[in-house]
Amino acid sequence: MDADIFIEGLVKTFGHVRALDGLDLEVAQGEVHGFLGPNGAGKTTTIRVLLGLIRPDAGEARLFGSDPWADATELHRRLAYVPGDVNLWPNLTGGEVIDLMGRLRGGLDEKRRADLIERFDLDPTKKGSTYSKGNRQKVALVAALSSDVDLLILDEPTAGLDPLMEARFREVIQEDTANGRTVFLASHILAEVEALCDRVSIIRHGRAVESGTLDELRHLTRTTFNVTLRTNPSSLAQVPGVHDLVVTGSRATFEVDSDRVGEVVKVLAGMGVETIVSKPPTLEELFMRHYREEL
Amino acid sequence: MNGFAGTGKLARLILRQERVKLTFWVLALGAVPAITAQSFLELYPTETSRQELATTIGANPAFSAILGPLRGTSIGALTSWRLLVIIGALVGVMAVLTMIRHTRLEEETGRRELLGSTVVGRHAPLAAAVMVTVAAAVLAGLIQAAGLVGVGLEVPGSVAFGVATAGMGSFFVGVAAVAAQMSPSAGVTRGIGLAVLGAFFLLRIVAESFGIGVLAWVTPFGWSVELSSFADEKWWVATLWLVGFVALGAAALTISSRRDVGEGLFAQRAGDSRASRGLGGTVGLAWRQHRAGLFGWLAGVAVMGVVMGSFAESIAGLVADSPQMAEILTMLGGVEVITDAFFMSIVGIVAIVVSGYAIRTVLRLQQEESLLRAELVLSTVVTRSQLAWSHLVFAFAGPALMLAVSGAVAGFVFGVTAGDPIDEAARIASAALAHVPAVWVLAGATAALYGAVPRLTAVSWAALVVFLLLGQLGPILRLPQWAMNLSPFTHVPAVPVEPLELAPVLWLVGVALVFTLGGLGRFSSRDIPTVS
Repeated sequence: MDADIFIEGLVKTFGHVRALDGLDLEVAQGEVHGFLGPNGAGKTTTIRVLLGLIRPDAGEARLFGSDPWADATELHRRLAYVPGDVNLWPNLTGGEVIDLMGRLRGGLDEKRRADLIERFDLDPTKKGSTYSKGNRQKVALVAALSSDVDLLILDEPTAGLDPLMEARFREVIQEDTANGRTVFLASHILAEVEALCDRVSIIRHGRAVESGTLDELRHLTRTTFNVTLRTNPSSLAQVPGVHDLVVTGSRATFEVDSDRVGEVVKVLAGMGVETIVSKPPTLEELFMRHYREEL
Repeated sequence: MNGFAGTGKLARLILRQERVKLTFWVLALGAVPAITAQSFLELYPTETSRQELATTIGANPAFSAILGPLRGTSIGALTSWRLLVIIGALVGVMAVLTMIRHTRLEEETGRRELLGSTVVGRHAPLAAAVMVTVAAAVLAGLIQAAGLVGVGLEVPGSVAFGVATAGMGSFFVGVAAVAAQMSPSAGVTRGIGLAVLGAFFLLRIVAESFGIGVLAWVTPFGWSVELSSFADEKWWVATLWLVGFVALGAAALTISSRRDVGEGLFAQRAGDSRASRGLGGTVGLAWRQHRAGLFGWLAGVAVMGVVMGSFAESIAGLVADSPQMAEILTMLGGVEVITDAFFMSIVGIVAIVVSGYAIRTVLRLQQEESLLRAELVLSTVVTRSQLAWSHLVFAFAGPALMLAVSGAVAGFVFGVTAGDPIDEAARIASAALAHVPAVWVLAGATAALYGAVPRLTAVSWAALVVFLLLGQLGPILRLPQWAMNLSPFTHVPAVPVEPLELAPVLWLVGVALVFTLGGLGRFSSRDIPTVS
C-alpha cells in the first residue's frame, strides 16, 4: 500500500453526536493534503484517531499501513504533530520545550532548529506562561518541523500567526515537501490550502464530501463568465451548460459547467464579443458550494 | 466602566459551576457540629460523666495544644473545644481552594481574558469569587448555629460557633485573594494560600504549648479559641476576622488593579534557550513540574516536625511541674505513653495533610489532559503508562518522603533534650512511615477515578475530608467500627505505641496497587481527551 494515511468508513460518536460518520480519506506518500472543513466538522477528531488518542467505533484507519491505536508509540517515531490549541508548560521556556519534544520524538535537526527559530522570529528564552497564542504556536511548529520525521500532522497551524509569519510558514512547508515529506494539513484557511496542497479533502458532518486535486475539483464545478455582447445576451439561456444567467442591457454574467466551456465559447464567438472575463472557481467557491447547500 | 460591573452575573456563573462542590462543603461543615453535640449528649448525659472526660482531656497537654483549652464541662463547651480549630482549618481550605479556582486558575487557562472582553469590570471576577465564597462560609456558619440550637444548646454559644466558622472562612478568602495576585501559576498561588493556613495553624500550637499568649492573638485560629463559645463569649473578637478580611481584600484589590491580567506580583524572568540534559523524557518533564511544589511541601512538613518535636519535649516539663498531673500520667501509662500517643495523633494529621499532596499530584495528570498537553506528549514516542507513571511516582514517593522527614525532624528535636536524637528520629519516622500505605490507598483511588470516571475525581477530595472527620471525631463519638473501617487511616498500625503489624500494611498496599493498576488500565484504553 502506497498511502501514508488510509481511512475507510470511519465512525466515531460522542454521546449523541456523530463526530465522524463514515469518513473516507487517503493521503499518498509525499503529498501535501489539505483537510478542509469548518469548526466542528470532525477534523480534530480524525487527527486524534490517527494519533491513536481516541478509538473509532467502526471503520478502518491505517497509518503507514499499521493500526494507529495498537501501534501508536512505534508509529509516532515517524510523525510530528502540531495541535490547533497549543498550551505550553508555564515554567518551561520555548527553547526547552522544543528540545524536550525533540528528545521525546527521538532526535531533532540542530541546524534546522536554529534556522527555524530565526525565521519565525521566536525568543526561545521566554517562559511558556508569557508567550502569546501565536508564539506558543511557533514553538510547537519549530519543534515539529525541526524533527526528522516522514509525516507532519498539522491542525490549523497558522490560526494564531500574523500574515508575515503565515507566509514564512508556507515557505517552510514548501521546502519540506520538496524533501519528500508528507504533510496532512487540517485548515479552514482556504488561501493557505490552495497555495500549499496537492490534494484536498472537504469534510462535512464527519464525511468527506469531496476529494481530489484542485484541478479535479474544479472540473466538478463551474467557471464564471462576464461578457459584453453586440447582440442580445438573453438567448444564452438556451445554451446547454449555461446556468444562473443575469442580463443587464448588453452585459451578462453566468456560470458554465467546466466540461462545456469550449462549446459555450464557440457560441459566444458567434454573438459578437466586446469584452470577456472568465474566472475559474476558487477553492472558496468550491467550499462554499458544499456548505451553502444546507442553508 | 465601573470596576465592579457584572459582578452579580459572574457570581451566578460561579455558583452554577460550584453547585456540587460548594454544596458538599457547606453541608458537611454545617452538619458536623450538631451531629457531634448530639453524640456528646448521648455518650455523656450526666455532669459526672463529663467531669471524668474533662479530667482525662485536661491530663493530656497534647489535646490543648492542638485543639485549645477545654472551657467548662457543658455539651457546648465540649463540642466547641473538639471542633472549632478543625472546622476553622477546613473552612479555610474550602475558602482557599474555591477562591483560587475562580481567580488565578481562570486567568491561567485564559478564560478570564474571554470574560474580560465582555462587559465585566476589572475587579468583577475577584469580587464575584469573594462574594460566593464568603456567602458559603456564612451559610455554613448559619447551618451550624441552627443545628446546635436544634440539638438544644444555648443560643449565644451556638451563634458564636457559627460566627467563628464564618469569620475563619472570610479571613482565608482574604488570604486567598492576596495569594491569587502573587504568581501566574494557579498551583503556586494555591500553595501560598494553604501554606499561610498551615503556618497560622502551627503558630497557635506554638503559642499554646509554650504559653506565649501574645502569639495566640496573631493567628486567626487563636481568635476562634479566644471567642470562647459556650463560655462567656468575647464577642468583640469577631471584629478581628472582619478587620482581617477587609484589610486583605483591600490589599488584593490594590495589587490586582496595578498588575496586568495573567501576570503575577513577581515578574517572570527569562530562562534557558536550551533544555538541560535532565529534561530529556517524561520523568524529567514531571520533575520540572513538581519540584517547586515538592520542596515547598517538604519545607512545610519539616517546620511541622520542629513544632511537634519541641512540643513533645515540653510535655515532660509540664509533668515535672505538677505532681497531680504526674499521678494521672502514671495511671495512664507514664510520660512515654503520653508523648508517643501525642506523636501518633499528630503524625496522623500530617498523613491527612500529605494525602492532599498525593491527590493533587495524581490530578496534575488530569490537568495535563484537559489543557491538551498530554495529547502533545502522547503524539511522541511516549506510552500512556509512561506519562501516567511520571506523575504517579511523585504522588507515591512524595508523601512517603514528607512523612519520613516530618517524623525524623520531630523525633530528632524531641531527642535532643530527651537523649538519643538519632534513635528518636528513626522511631518517630517509622511511626510516620506506617501511614504511607493509607496515603497510597487515597492516591490509588484517585488514579482509579481518573482512569475510569474522570469527571468524578473530586470524590477523592470529599473522601479525604470524610476520613479526616472520622479520624478526629470517631473515637470520642464512639462511632461504630464499620464506619471507622471505611477510612484507610483506621487500619494504620499504631506504631510506636504498638509493634508494627505487617498484615494491614500489606493489604493496604495491595488495595492501593489494585486501584492504581485498574486506573492505569482504563487510562490506557480510553479516549484522550475524554468527553464527559
